[in-house]
Amino acid sequence: MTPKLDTRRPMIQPKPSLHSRLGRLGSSSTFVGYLFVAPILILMGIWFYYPLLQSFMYSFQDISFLNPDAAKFIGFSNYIEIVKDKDFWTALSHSALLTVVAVPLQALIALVIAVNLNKVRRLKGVFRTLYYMPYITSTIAVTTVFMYLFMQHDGIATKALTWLGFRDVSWYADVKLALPFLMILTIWTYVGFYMVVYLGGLQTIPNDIYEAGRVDGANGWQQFWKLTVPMLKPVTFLVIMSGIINVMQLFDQPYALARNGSLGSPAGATSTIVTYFYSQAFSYNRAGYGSAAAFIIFAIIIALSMLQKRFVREEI
Amino acid sequence: MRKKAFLLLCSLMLMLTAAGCGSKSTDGGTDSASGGAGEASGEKKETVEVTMAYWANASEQKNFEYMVNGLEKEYPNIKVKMQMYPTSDEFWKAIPSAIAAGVGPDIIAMSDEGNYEYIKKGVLAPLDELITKVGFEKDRITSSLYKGWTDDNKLYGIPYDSSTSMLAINKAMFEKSGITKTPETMDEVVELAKAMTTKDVKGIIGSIDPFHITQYVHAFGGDWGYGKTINSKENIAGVQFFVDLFLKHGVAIAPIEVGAPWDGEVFSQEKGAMSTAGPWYVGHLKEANPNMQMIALPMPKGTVEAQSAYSHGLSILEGSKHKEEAMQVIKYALRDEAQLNAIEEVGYSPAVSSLLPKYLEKNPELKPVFDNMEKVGMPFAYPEQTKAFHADLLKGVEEIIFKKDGLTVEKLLNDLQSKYGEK
Repeated sequence: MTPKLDTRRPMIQPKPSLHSRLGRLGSSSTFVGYLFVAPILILMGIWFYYPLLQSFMYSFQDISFLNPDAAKFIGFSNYIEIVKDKDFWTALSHSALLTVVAVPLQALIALVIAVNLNKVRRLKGVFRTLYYMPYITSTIAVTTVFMYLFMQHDGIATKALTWLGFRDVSWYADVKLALPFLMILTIWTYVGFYMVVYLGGLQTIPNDIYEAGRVDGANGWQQFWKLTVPMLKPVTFLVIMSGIINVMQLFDQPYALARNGSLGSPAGATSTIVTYFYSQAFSYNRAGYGSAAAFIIFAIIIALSMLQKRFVREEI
Repeated sequence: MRKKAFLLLCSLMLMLTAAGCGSKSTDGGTDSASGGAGEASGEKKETVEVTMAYWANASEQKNFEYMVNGLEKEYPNIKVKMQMYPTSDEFWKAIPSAIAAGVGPDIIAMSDEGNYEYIKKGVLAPLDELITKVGFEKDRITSSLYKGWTDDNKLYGIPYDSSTSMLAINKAMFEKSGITKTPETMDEVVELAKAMTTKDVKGIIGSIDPFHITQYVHAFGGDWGYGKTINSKENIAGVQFFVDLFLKHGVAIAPIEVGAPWDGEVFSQEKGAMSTAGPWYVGHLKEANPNMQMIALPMPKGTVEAQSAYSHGLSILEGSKHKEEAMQVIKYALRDEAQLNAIEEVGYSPAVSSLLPKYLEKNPELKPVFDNMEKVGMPFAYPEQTKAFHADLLKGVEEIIFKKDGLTVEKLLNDLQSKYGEK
């Protein structure tokens, strides 16, 4: 059996001249594309990738910002010390607890508000702005106001909660209530943002689906549960995953709570994985140890992001 | 074709913009770097720029400016660049990174509470030779203040103010308490705190802060000993006394419990009747509660008479390329005129001993406090990893007071000794 020759293509391809190659490169949109992305790539190289690489190298060194010349290579010692440090596990457990409790709660509240706000005919913009405000308000200001609300004796929220059986204490100063206080503060801060995201999602659901549902006899609850919730699945994934990443990076609120005291106060009750890293790197000047902690946070967030990608691929 | 040329032009402009931004920031960086390193400023080669970094509020900023005002007349070859940070937190965040990047300032102003780590890590330059070189009269400064700046017989900073600890009592509440004698011992402090505690007011403010805890440690004959004596029995007794004010006697309140950032605010809001304090309470009360009257007392005795003696000082960084000029700036900044201005404008007690009477003329109620500092003043002597030690000490004490999970003072200090003790 003789092989068939492809007569459509010449056996010997003529080599394009240098001039024509350059001309093609110069005129191609690919080259222009590279030119456009070059500035940002260079800047990212300088401001992101180089520090990332340097930080990774620091994580294997005993290095202090105060005396960087005395840096010593210590292999995985920083990582081992972190894993053995009970404060790290406390901080990680707080971040995990915030993730498990605060993230679903804020998504649920945001969805409920968005669904109801979507039905509002008048002043919708005003309500949307009002709900969004906490997200763009200074964390320090919000935390200070919340501290007054949850203060012993005089705090309005404390007074209301004592009727429900809670103790009359300053929530942020109580080792058992400080973390729930941080959760409430976090939910309140982010719920408006996610409400706007859900609102955007709701507006993409065609009205015909609800009309068909009504024709089939679905009541309000059934429409919400059988139509709205499934149609919003991609948005919910986005909200949940972005919520997890936000909570894993939570820093401003515990920082504001600590005021002049040590981060994580009282007694480490509000420490998070980022406050742990920050204290080590910047308060105690342990650049190597802090870098190792930062890489552990980085690995956790990367793992969560990959998980998100996988779920989104499977579900959508 | 025209479209492609336009696109290319756009890309080129973007590149140039980026390069422009880069060059601007590099210029800025070089500028601050040269400032930090004290490079000569272009035109006049002989002029040396000395950078001085500090944190200050508005009135302190004016005082720092006054400290170097007119320097060019005395030292025409020196130009001072002031690098102000709004808070100590901002300062401590920025300075280590600047040092690591090789663009640290020449002079830094800080308290001797946190200087030991800097001394031990070789960040601060010893000043002894420089003092002789520029002819600074070291003896003008209150001698006890040098203790907090000396290590291995080398001096690492020149104090520009003096400060001490004291016991502050709300005069009106004291008069209502039924007790007539002001406390001289820690047992009497407890008695008075009990007598002044009411439904809305606690007898004493127990600020969970290294400064305040150290007052009790010192009163019971203890000392952190730069990490050598963290778990001494005297230290355990001092911290135990502090904890007992909350747990055993129920007479103390921590600032965090009322949402206050520091003890002075609890005191001026009259939510606590008494507090371990310092001369800064005088100025704070004038602003926060001018009608309130305060009794200032030397620190009461636990088992010994002791009181903190400390200061803010000016130090020269080891990395400075202009140490001699920096020392000349310090010499100028410590002149009598600047010290008197600090008394008037900021209410600082001076480091120059001959000017202390001027300060006490304005604040006669503090005389016994400063007399006691001269007699029994001692430095904080925190371990080398000062900030990490502070954080763990506070966390531990908070755990004992608020969490009550079985941690004892003795175990806490033993743990701290093994973690931060000098080996």
